[in-house]
Amino acid sequence: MLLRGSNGFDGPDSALAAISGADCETGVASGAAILAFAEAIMESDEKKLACARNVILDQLGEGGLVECSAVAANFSQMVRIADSTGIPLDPPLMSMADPIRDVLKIDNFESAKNTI
Amino acid sequence: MSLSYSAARYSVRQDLEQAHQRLWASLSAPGTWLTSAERIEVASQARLARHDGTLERNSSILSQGLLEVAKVVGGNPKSINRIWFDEIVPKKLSVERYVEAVGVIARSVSVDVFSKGLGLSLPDFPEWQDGSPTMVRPATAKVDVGWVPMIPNGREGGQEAIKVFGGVNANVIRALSLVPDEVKGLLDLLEHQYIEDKKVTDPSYESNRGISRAQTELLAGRVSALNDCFY
Repeated sequence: MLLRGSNGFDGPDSALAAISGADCETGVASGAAILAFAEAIMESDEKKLACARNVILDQLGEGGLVECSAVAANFSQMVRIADSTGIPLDPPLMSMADPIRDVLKIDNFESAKNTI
Repeated sequence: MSLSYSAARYSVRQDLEQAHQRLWASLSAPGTWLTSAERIEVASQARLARHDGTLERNSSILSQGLLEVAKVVGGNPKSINRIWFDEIVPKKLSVERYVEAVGVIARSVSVDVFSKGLGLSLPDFPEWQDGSPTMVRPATAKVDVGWVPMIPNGREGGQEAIKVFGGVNANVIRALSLVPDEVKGLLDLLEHQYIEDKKVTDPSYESNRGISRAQTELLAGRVSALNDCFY
């Protein structure tokens, strides 16, 4: 939802499908590198992460790598808080999410039982 | 032991390093419902669970309830559901201790993920300190929209809501408000790892750090999806 409204995003809705893992154009600069980094940092394959890190360094530089790591860190934290406390999505966010739930396939998540 | 990124191959913003240092310092201090030793052991067991979630572990410091929370919240958050929560709280753990443990685990995970991203060794946890938990519970906290009591938004939350999360805030920020110090720590990390709380809902806001807002949200969305997080 925040991606859709963000500066620099002129991509198609397929960017939302890419968030769900589909092989789609993101419409975001270095989007493929960012998605690969997100996947690698959540897994335990050191070689895969090293490759993803190098691509980020090439495309976004050291500062980009630090920020990508910080954002991944932040959302690793947020998902644990949301899932552990059974909170629902706030009503304004829920109405924003309605049109894109199918694209994101998020209703299939275990946590959707708490959130919807 | 103080956390430091001074030996890192890549230059880390000072404000971000300091936020992580504040987190490490807070881990080593007695909490509201957990002792210093429990806080550090919960974070340590959560780290172990992430690295090898299949192993059963014992802890001389943690109760079975705290150990289970460390293992699941740290290592396998996708599996969390209401049935699991009801097995833990309040049978094995008070809700106050549960909320504090979730905050400690979630915040410490962020330091580990950050270190992993930069290819750094995970930092040693700090030494524990003497002292007793304060055991102060917000008077207004109650179960409203989630599984755990939270300080309500707006007038119902009164001065506590204003003090802890600015009066009105998103559920994910209020989620830990049964333990206000955990919200304080969360907001600190949010600002330095992502975006200042008040700016989050403005998608046009740019932090002018190393990546754009669109890049930030793309990454945030993918990390959340990989964790099966609807929220």
